[in-house]
Amino acid sequence: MSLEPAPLQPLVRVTGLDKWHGDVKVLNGVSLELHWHERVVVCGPSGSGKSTLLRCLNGLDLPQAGTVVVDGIELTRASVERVRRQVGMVFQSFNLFPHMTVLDNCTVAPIAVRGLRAAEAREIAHDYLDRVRMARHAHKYPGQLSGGEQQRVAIARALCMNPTLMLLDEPTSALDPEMIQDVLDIVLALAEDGMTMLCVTHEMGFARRVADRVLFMDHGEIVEQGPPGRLFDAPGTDRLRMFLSRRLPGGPIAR
Amino acid sequence: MRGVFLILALYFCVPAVWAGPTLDRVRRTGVVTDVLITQYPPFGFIDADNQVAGVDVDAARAFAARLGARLNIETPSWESIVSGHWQGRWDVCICSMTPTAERAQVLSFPAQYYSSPAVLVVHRDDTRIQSVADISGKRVGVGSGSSYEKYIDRSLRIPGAAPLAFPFHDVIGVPGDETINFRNLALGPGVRLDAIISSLATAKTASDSMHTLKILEPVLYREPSRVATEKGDPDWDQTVASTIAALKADGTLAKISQKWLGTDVTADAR
Amino acid sequence: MPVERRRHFREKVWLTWLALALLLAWGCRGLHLDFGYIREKLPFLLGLRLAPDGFIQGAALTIFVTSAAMVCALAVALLTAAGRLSNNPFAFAVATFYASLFRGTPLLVQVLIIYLALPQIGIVLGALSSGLIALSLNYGAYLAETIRSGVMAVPAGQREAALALGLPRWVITWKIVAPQALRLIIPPAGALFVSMLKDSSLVSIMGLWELNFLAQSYARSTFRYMEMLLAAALVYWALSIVFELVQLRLERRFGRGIPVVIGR
Repeated sequence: MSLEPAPLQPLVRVTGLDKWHGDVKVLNGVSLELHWHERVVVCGPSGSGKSTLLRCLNGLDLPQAGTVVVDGIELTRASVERVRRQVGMVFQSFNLFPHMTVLDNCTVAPIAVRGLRAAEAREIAHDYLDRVRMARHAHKYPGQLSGGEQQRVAIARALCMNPTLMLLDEPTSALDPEMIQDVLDIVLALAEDGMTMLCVTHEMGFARRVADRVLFMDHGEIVEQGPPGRLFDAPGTDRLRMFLSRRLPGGPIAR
Repeated sequence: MRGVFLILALYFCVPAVWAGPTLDRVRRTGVVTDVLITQYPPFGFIDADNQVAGVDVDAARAFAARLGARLNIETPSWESIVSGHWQGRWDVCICSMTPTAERAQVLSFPAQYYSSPAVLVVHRDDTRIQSVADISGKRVGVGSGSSYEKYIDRSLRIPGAAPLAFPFHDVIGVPGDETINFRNLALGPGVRLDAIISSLATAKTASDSMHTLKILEPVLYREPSRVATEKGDPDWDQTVASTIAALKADGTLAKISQKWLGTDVTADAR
Repeated sequence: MPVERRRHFREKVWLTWLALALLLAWGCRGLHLDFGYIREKLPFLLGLRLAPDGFIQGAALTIFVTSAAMVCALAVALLTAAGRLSNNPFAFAVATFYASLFRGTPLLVQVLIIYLALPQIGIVLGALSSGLIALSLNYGAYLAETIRSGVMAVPAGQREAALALGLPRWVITWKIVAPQALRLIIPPAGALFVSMLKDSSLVSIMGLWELNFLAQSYARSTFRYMEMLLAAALVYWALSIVFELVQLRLERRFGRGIPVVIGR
């Protein structure tokens, strides 16, 4: 993926998102813009609405108020399938299809959605599986793979659809520590190739390296945003300061 | 094979039967449909060649022949027959049915074709029971839902006959499957049953195959076995009555009875 | 090493089966059965001969009725499960009402109503049709619940991942959810069908000469009750075993990729 001159319009424009889960307001008037080739990391305490925000970008969650525009297409029930073709998502629990091989996992969507022929789809799948260093395991089933291996396949699966935007929802939170770095390396490589991405994660070191911008969310709002260096070293708000103090190495939750 | 599939297809595609007057239907189609029970030897059973046979079958054949129609035999469950509302599926039941007040609400009984003696059966080695008076307080097996069950309950009324005497009291009725009852009685006097009340024909068949039973004299009572039809077609009932009368008059029924039972049970029929 | 252990396991299982079968056979000897009579009647019981009216009978009829009812029950069950899972209030209401009614009333009552009561309002159905309809509706209701629970047990994440890939709804249902749901549906569905095999004997109420009816009729003709009961039981058992083998095949096909815990 070469770095073409970025279009002037933002890839994603979110305006005034409100979302309730029952009586709880999970998103409170959230607005943001995501530019082409921008890498944004979202962090915050649990329940802050990070995942919900992410899921609103590909229609897995639909907000009660506000708009989401992805690549010029406004996200509605009618347009959601079109939007999803351009947006790839990686889940915390991988969500690979257990009854299909690794290769089939990667080819099912290109064949069914983009209408590719099986041979073509398999070639593309092999390429991406190679990039995530899982090509050797193409004929295995997800049940035979470790967590880290499964997540890498999940990333390849999403990439096979040639998305313009990648959404990563805590991709390493369910992994054992020794596998985390492998997956992060791949996401980093993806970022370096210019993929626009929005990533929810607790990995601070990774955020520093990959992010152009970090969003800190709390109680359904974007409290602070800025380059990772400034945000982590010189937090502007008390809430962020409190969050960071709990998360830094040596604190109660050491990573 | 193709014939089987054709018949299968027919069964599937022609579910509805016109519910019209029975006589019209029989005349129009040239087929009379008779129902009977194939689990009641020697009146209705399946023989070694997998064909239905017995008194009821031969009587039905004679009936159809006299009528000039082809015979079609069906074997639904007793409950289906006895609950009436045949809706044109079946025309006549020559099936050893005893008329009762409940059955008379949905069925007609235009003709009697034989009368069935009810007998008391005990184990060969039984010394306690000599006659029906001795069954007071004993366990007596009877067919479920049969007139024999009503008899030991002291509630049996045979329409058109004199009221019965019940020279016993407090009989412990054991309703059940007649075949099982006979096997239980054959185990020994009082082991599971003390006695059985059933038709003479059933008792004879059981006794002939098990050799450990004794049929007591005298006959307890005689039940009329009548031909049954669905209520509401007096023309058909008339036809049935006259046909059966003709079969009796020329001795056809008597011959059938002799063949299967060794005696003429149609003699008592009015 | 695991292959060796599996072979030993299977050997011991077969030996135990053989011992149990011999035990059963030895138990039957005590009944002093007339095996000649069983041999004589077996072709009739199996349905190798036709009934006097030219229709199939015995085990052949049982197999036909069960198979046909299975197909219809499946169709009914899929519709009902879809209704119960749908957001359409009308579909949901109809499906739930039907399922509750037909699971909550005895099969015998349903057969009798369809065969004996419906005619009184003008719907007169033939013997085979009544039996098939009753079996399909009754078992369809149970099967619908099995299907619904299998579908609900597929993790939500599977649907989400499929949606995120932009897969259309029918592809998700057919290629993602159904294969996973089937893994959970097949064992209880198999049990239902084995049960239907025995319930198919109810068509004898309408006068069809299926296996159970024949066994009873032959038994009563000659008072050879035990012989006929045993023969019928063995035939039903043999048929059930065939069903179970098919089920095993299906389980293996749909269990692909998911590691099995107990060694087989």
